[in-house]
Amino acid sequence: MSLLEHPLLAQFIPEARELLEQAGRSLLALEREPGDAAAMAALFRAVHTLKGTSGLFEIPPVIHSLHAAEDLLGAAQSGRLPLTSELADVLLDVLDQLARWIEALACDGALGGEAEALAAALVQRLAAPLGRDQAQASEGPALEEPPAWLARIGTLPEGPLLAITYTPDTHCFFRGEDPLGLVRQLPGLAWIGVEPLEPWPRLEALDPFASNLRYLALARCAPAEAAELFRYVPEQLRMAAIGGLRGADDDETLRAVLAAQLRLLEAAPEPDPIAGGRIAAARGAAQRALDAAGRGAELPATRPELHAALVALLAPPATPAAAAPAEVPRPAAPSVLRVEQAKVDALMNLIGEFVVAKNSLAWLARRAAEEDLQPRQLAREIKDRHALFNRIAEEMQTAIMSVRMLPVDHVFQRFPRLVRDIARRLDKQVELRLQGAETEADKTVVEALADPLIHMVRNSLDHGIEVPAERLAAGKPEHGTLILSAQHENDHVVIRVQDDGRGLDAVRLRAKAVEKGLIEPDRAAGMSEEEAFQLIFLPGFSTAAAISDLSGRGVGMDVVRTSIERAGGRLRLSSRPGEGTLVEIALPLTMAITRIMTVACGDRLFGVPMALVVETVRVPRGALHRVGENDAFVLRNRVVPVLRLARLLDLPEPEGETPAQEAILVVRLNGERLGIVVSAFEEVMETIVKPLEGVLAGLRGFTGTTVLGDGRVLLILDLPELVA
Amino acid sequence: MTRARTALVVDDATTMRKFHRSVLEQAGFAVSEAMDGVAALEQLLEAPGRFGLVLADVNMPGLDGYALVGRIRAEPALAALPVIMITTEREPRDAARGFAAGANLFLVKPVRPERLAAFALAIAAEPAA
Repeated sequence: MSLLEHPLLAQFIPEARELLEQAGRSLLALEREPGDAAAMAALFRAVHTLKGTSGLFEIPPVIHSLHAAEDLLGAAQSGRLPLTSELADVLLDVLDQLARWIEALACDGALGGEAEALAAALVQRLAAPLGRDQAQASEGPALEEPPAWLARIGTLPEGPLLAITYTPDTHCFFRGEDPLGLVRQLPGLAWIGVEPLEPWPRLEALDPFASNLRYLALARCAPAEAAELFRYVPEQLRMAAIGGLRGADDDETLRAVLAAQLRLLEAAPEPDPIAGGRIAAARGAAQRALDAAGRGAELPATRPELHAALVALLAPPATPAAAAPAEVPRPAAPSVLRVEQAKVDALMNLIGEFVVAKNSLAWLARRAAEEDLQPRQLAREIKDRHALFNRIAEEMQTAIMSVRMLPVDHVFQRFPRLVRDIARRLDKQVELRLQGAETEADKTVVEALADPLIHMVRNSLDHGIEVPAERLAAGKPEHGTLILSAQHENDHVVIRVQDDGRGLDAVRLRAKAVEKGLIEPDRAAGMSEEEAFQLIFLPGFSTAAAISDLSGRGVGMDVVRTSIERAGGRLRLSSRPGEGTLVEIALPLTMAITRIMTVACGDRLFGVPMALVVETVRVPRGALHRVGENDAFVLRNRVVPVLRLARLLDLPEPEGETPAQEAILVVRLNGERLGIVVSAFEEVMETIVKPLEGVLAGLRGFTGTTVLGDGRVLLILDLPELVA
Repeated sequence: MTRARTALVVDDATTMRKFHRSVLEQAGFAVSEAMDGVAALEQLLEAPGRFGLVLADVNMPGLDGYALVGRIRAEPALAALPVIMITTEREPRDAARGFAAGANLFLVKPVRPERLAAFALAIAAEPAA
């Protein structure tokens, strides 16, 4: 049943998200300050309110989980139960699961197939501290319907089997869990498989720290044995007995119906008061389902024969089943912008002004006709109106920009939880300080910050900040400090991630880069410490070896830098051995309006984002020198390599007489200066760059297009791509 | 098929009853409703063979879903009638109880409409009278 049509769902989703966030914040505050009555009250209220509103929808797993959480919080609030870290872990897991359900509701209008079992496990965990062990605990582990993935396996092993679906959570590696190792310990293991939870992202977006797998297994063991093995992660385990049942059929419904009839037959108690009805009902339903599917088998009427026939029908087909399990990608949930009332009011006022100004044009047109205005006078009047419209347009632009502005807290707020979890897993003590969370930037900018920041915070916790013993030995306080700050500087929002950990080790970085063949040994030897630090941004610096031990600082740092630069930003890193590391990200406040410099290449015009441009210079032809494969010139005592735009774009060299001076656009790419020879510099303008769409989407070397004043389309160069 | 398929939807919650009715109607069923197990049994016994499918909730006052399906299986005229039980119960062991009681299918809400319709069409019997 989809709730997407439910008239109240659209209202419920953002409210639920907000309540969950509020609950999470209160819970973390409580953990730091267990006696904080206000935080406790806020937490209780959030859970209670969410439970109330959830009641409007058919989402029992959500309601049951919230109900159990409320019970637990009630006990904690009244002082009957101390709020320990373990308790907070359980509650945080519940909030996480609820958040996943809310997003699933927003996308699909349903919680997903595993919701019932997940909720049952959560409820049990929530009830345990209250001494209310759920009745089902004594009745052995819960079994479910055979999972859908069975249908996608070729030939099943013989005999009664337990089908196990184990979904470790995304952060399982941080808890030192070894999902595959766990599955392999299953007694009587007969088959193992994995499938991705979400479709694999592109390589540069892949998070090697996160588990994206679901483990599937078939084993000849009792459910209780499997439950014992997975006792620490019961909520991640689903089991189904497929006793003697083998099954693969492309018709899901038929298979499910036949399997259910088999269960109906097998569920008979001894003695069975309805034996006749049971067999007749099972045979009837199975026969009709077969007929409906065009499978003309005639089913026998006695129990043993019917049972055997159903088992045979559920046997796998002779040919091995087709493709491996794959999940359909979910459509992204619509993103919603919450806007302050005042900002909308300001925009409304401007629209009012705009309407009034528009009327003045009609008035002017009438006057021009009636009074037969002279062209010169008319021109002046039009110019006045233009000035008016120009002012309104500028103010509207500012106003609509401010609507899109979000505080970086939007991204920051997830860090207290992330830092707490990772620090706990790594047995480190870390104090996180957030500064300037109220700093605003464009929504797209704030969102672009999220992934790089998570990456760097994880790196800091993992490799920067030492374990308490090591810190004490180094004469530092046991607690490491991680500062995440944001502030405006000129047209940029600058985010700093600073830790007081062990810092980067230039010697090791050099050695590693040489070992990986990324730089020559003599070049490494000649590098300053500062230069050595930048090695971590080299593509390939982190390889499989580094990823597998989860350490190797620099996992994907090249990806982080590329994504920041793609968004028009800069990334800088500095470090002092023994004192810590500072990473600084500067992003333009807005991505919607971009300053573009237009340059000519022959008679064609191209745009270059001003964010990349350092300066424009004209040098005499003779000042260009051949260095290796490329030209270079000296700019204020620095050698700057030079490339020709025509060559980068595979365009013919501009014809006509060779100019005495070369126009060189100096840009900053990957922290290095680079000169681009163009035919001429044209104007700098502010414009809205549209991404390449449709047939142009595959075009490499360009980031987007914009329309020039005269209607021509200007292609914006993707210099990092062209130069790479 | 000459006659429309027929189904009886049994649920004490009006919203769910209406919802399941609309799903089955869209799948081509002529649908009747009953508020609880007792009323359902009355309608079924009144004209055995009138209905080709029963869609029953588990939790109902009076005669609940398990008891209803047990009574259907025990009644010679109704014994083979296909019954889908549908529930919000979160305990997976309830499914075992449903099958033991005699249900042909045991579905846990929320069930996607197209899935429910597919199951109903697959197992519904043609009305006899």
